[in-house]
Amino acid sequence: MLQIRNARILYGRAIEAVRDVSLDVARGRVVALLGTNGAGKSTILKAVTGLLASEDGEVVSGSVTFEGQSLLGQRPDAVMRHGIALVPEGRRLFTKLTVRDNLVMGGFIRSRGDFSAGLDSVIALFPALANKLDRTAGFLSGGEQQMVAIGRALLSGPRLLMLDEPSLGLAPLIVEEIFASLRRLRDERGLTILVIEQNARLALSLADDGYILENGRIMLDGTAAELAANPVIRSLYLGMTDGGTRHNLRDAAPMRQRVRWPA
Amino acid sequence: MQYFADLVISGLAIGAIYGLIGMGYACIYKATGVVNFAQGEVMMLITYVTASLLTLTTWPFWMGLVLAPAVGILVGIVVERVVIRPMIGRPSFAIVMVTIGLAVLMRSLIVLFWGSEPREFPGRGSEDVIQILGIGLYPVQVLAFLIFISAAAAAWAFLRYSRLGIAMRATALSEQIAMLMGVDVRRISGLSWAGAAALSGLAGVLFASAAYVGPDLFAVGLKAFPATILGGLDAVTGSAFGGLLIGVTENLVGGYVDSSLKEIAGFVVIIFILMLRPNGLFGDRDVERV
Repeated sequence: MLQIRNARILYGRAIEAVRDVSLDVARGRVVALLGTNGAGKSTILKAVTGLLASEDGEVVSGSVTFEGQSLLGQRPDAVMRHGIALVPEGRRLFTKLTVRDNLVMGGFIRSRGDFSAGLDSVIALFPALANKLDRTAGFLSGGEQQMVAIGRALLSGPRLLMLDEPSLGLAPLIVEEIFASLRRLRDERGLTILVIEQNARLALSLADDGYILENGRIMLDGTAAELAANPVIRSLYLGMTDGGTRHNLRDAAPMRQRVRWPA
Repeated sequence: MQYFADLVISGLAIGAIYGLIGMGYACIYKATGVVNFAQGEVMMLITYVTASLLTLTTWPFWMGLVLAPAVGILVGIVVERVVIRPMIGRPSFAIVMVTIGLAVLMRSLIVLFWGSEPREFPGRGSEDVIQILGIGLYPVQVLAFLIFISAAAAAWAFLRYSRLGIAMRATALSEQIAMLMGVDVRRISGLSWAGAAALSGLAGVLFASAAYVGPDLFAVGLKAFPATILGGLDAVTGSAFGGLLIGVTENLVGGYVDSSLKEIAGFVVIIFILMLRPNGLFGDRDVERV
C-alpha cells in the first residue's frame, strides 16, 4: 500500500535527516517504526504527508508511493485525499475550537452524511467524548485530546492511518486505552496502520511488522514477533535481560554492527 | 441631552462604517496573520470603480450597494493572487511591508486614472432627514447601520457554523494541520481577501454617498484601524463592535472637547484599552491548560 524505497531526506539542502530508508506498509497490516529521538522517524512521516516542504525539507532521492502513485511533490491537502490520515506528534488539536469543530475539520473533505455517520463511529470508539463535544479542545485532558486527534484523523475516512508517538506524555493507563482502541480499529475495520513509537514494547504488542530506525537508516526489520525475540532488540529497546547476560552500551556497538548487514 | 443623543446616533452611523472596514482587517489577519495596510486603498479603489459603473449605467444608487461587494470580491481575489500569494511562506513582516507598498501604489494609480478632484457619488440617496426617536438622521446613515448589523451577523454565523468558516478559524490556528485536514490554505487566503474587500467596498460606498468620492478616501480605512485593534485584531465580530465604539467616542470628543481632537480620539482610546487588555476587548488569549 505505502512503499518507501531508498529515500534520502535533507533539510535545508544540507542536513541529512534520513540516509537510506525503505519500508513497506501492506494493506491491513499494522507496522511499527521504532527508533530513538532524532533517528528520523517523524521526518519519514512528513515525507509521506507532504509537510516536509513547509519545513524546508526535501526527498532528494528514492521514492514514496501510495498504491503505486508517487506522493512526492504533492501538497499535504492533496496527499490526504488519497486516503492517508496523520495523528501528529503532540496531538496538535485546534486548541481554541470546540471538540466538535475539530472533528468537523477532520471530515472537511467528506459529505455531511458521511460526516455524521463517521462522528457516530468515533463516539462509539471513544465514548468518553460523547458529552464533551461542545468543550474547547485545549481544555481537555491529554488522553481525551489524543482521542480527539485520532477521531479527527478517522473522520477523513482514511485507508492508511499514521500515528506519530501516540503514547507521548500520557499516563500508562491512558496509553493502554488508546492502544486498545487502535487494536479495535485493526480487528474490526481492517484499517492499515503505521505507528511511530519510542515505546517499543507497546508498539510491538500492537504491530504485525516492525522497522528499527537508527541514525537515518533502517537497521533491522521483520515481523513484530521476530523483533521481540531478537536479543539485541530485547536488550536495547525492550530493556530485558536474557539468562543473566546484561547487554550494556559497550556491548551494544558490535551487536549493532552485526545487525546492520543481516545475512 | 438632545445634543448628546445626536452625537451618539451619528457616531453609531460613522462607527458602522469603521466597523465594516474593521471586520475586513480582522478577517485577513485571522486567516493569514497579516495586517493589510492597504485596506483603505482597496476600499477607495472599489468605491471609484463602483461610482464609475453607476455613472456609466445610470443605475439607481441602491445598485451601488450590490455592485460594491461584487467589485470588492473581484478586487480582493486579484490583489491576493497577484501580490499576496507569491509571498506565502515569507515572514509576515515582509508581507505587511508589501501591503504598505501596495497602498502607496494604489493611491497614485487612482489619482492617475480618475484625477485628484473630488466628485459627488452618483445618485446619492435622498437628503430628506428622517426622524427616529426625535433625532434627525439621513437615510444613508440608517442604511449604513442596517447593513453593518446584517454584515456583522452574517460574518458571525459564517465563522461559527459553516464548514468553510470553521476551516478559516482552523487555518488561523495552524496552517499545517489545516492542510492535513484537506484544506487548501491558498483558497482560504483568497477567500479572506475577497471577504475583506467586499466589506470595505460596502463601507466605501456608504461613506462616499454621505460625503464625496475623493483621493483622500483611504484615510477612512486608517481611522478604522483603531476599531479592529480595540475589538481584537483576530476577532471579526469584536472588530465590528470596536468600530461602533470608536465612532461614538470620536463624535463625543469632537462635540464636547474640541473638533480637532476628533481625528485622534480613536487612537488615544486604543492606547488606554491596550494597556488594560493587550489582545483587545474580544481578542483571543492563548488557551493553556494548567
